[in-house]
Amino acid sequence: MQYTRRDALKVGLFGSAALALPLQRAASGLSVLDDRMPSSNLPKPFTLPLRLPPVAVPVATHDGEDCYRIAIKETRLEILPGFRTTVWAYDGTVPGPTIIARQGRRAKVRFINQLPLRHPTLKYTPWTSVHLHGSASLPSDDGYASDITYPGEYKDYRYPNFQHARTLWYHDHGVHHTAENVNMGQAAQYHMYDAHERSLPLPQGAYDVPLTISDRMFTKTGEFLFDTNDNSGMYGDVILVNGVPWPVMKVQRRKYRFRILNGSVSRAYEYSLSTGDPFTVIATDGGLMPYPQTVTRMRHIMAERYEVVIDFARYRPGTRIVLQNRNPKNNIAYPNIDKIMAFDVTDEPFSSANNEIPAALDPDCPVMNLQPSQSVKTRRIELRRQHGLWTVNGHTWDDVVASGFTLTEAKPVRDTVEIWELVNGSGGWQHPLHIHLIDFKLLDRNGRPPFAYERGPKDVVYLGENETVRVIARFEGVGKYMIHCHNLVHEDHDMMSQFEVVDPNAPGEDPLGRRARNGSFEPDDPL
Amino acid sequence: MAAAPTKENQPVPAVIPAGRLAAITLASVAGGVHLVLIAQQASVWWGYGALMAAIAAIEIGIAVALVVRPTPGVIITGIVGVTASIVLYVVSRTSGLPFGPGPARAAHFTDPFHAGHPDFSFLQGRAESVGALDLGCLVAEIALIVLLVTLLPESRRRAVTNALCAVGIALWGLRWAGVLA
Repeated sequence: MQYTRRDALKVGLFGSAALALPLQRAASGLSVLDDRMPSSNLPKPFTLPLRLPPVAVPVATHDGEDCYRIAIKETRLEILPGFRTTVWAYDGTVPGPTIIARQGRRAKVRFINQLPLRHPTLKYTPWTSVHLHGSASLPSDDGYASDITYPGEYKDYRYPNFQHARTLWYHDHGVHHTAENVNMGQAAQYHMYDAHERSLPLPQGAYDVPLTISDRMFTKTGEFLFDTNDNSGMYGDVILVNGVPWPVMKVQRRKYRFRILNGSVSRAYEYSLSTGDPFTVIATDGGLMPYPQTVTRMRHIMAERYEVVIDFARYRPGTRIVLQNRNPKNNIAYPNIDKIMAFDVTDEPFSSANNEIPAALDPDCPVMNLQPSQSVKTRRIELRRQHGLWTVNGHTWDDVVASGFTLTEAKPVRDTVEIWELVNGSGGWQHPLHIHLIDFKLLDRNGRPPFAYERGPKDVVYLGENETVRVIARFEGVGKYMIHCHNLVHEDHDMMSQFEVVDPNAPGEDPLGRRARNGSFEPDDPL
Repeated sequence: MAAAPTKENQPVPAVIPAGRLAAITLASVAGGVHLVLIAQQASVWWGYGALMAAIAAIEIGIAVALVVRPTPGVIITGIVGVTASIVLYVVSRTSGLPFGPGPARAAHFTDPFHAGHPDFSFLQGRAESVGALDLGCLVAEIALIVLLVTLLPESRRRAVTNALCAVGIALWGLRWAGVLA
């Protein structure tokens, strides 16, 4: 049993590769969190001022549309004081520019993917697909996950803006890499207003404040760190509000309207004020609630939008009120995760215009007036983990792809009303379930009435541990739309499927029918 | 009249040398581990289960063959089979296997519209995590190869170790090229 030195070297070369490569990979996985920025180097909460994201400016008006051009590009921002962080964001800002649209006026946005071909550490190709979340866009403009735009390509998305006033948001939806892309910064708000909403004496202008809340983790050099905890979720140790860690905002002694978006990849929150005082929820994902709801705490899962009015008139100047997070279960806690931001009350003079909350906001909201008796069909959508994959009714997006995009979970008939029973049978995790295209009304949660703050039009629902929620909706529009978990790590692995609204007289548009383009733009193109 | 004994059909001695015994043991251990993993892998995808079964059959077959007929041909077949198993393992724990339920998603990216894009990372699967059981099996397989090489006649060793060296260089090369993450 002897080896020559030469044979030993040759076999040793093979053995070293066989053993070292898997071990090196395993070791690098373990070291992801080792590279995390120490808590001592993170900024102290409430030391940085809140920033507001820029407002997008149309580059042209063409054929009755406001036209925007937004580059998805790499820039380096100072998010943590003293560090530069590489972001891949809309126009290079985190969050991206807010688009403000008027009901009845269409918008066209050219999203240009100017990202590198490969992520430097995660090693994926950053194809993109942009979803305007909350818009009843046509299928080819809806950010269909497989309708991807590669680096170097662009796609024009058309937004109809015919729905009620609401807070929408646009974010990446590219198949299998949404979590990474959103973590890199691809999220922004989109506000649509209408005459009814503007006629109400609600806070407006400087008192109507977008708050995009998210969490991140950073490396020791200040770069975003991404760890999915074995595909259960990405939980950061830094809370960002509009891209600022635990900011503080100076407020005047009056009412403010906050458009709060949970833009986190996986983290859910439960808000309360440090004073224990109530605040008023006036709008949900699909716009104004029929009636305002006053609460002292509320849960907020990913992708949900709540518009909340806080009245600072009751506080003396110099008071600090902290928006707290009670950290719902199954979210990983870190120091200071229990804080979101602070409000410092000043004695600055203020305008008293639009400083009220009407007793009724939108009692005629069509979706909120749907009744179970109108439903023609009840369906069950169950979210579960199966063989290591996250599934919708046992299906993944890979199954949809493998079917040639024909697999659907439901085929509601256009303009009919249905009840969907949404089921999370697990006690180990929660799911934010998002149904594209429609607004729905929550009928009940585990057989009990929905929470007060959920009594408005919704498009995402918090499916907590072992919860079953029934929702009712009218299926307007036609074509294939996605239904998925908005824990983006679950979505990517692969808790996403689709339904198809069918109209016997009008086939739906192919969601893959209008693809991204590359090359130079048309000479007469307004964009 | 009995055929004259040749090198190939000599009767196997009743006493098995220590080196061969160690190889038999290692092949049995590695085959047993793969046998145990069949059900678990089949629950992910039937193809993975079939692959586990095939590797288990090869390794247990090597153990049996080393007992009853340890010819150079059997030993070389064993080295090839175990090397293939190791290479699959390395790929599965680095970049992920390029076949199975995960990579099936690649199908819709190969449309003519997107042809010519230089990145093919979507063809890769997802890397599995390294566990104690599979790491132990890997060590057993590497040791098995080391022993099997020693059982070869001098005349066959050089070609076999050259081939193993080439596989090792290829693995390191793929790692440096970024194909194996």
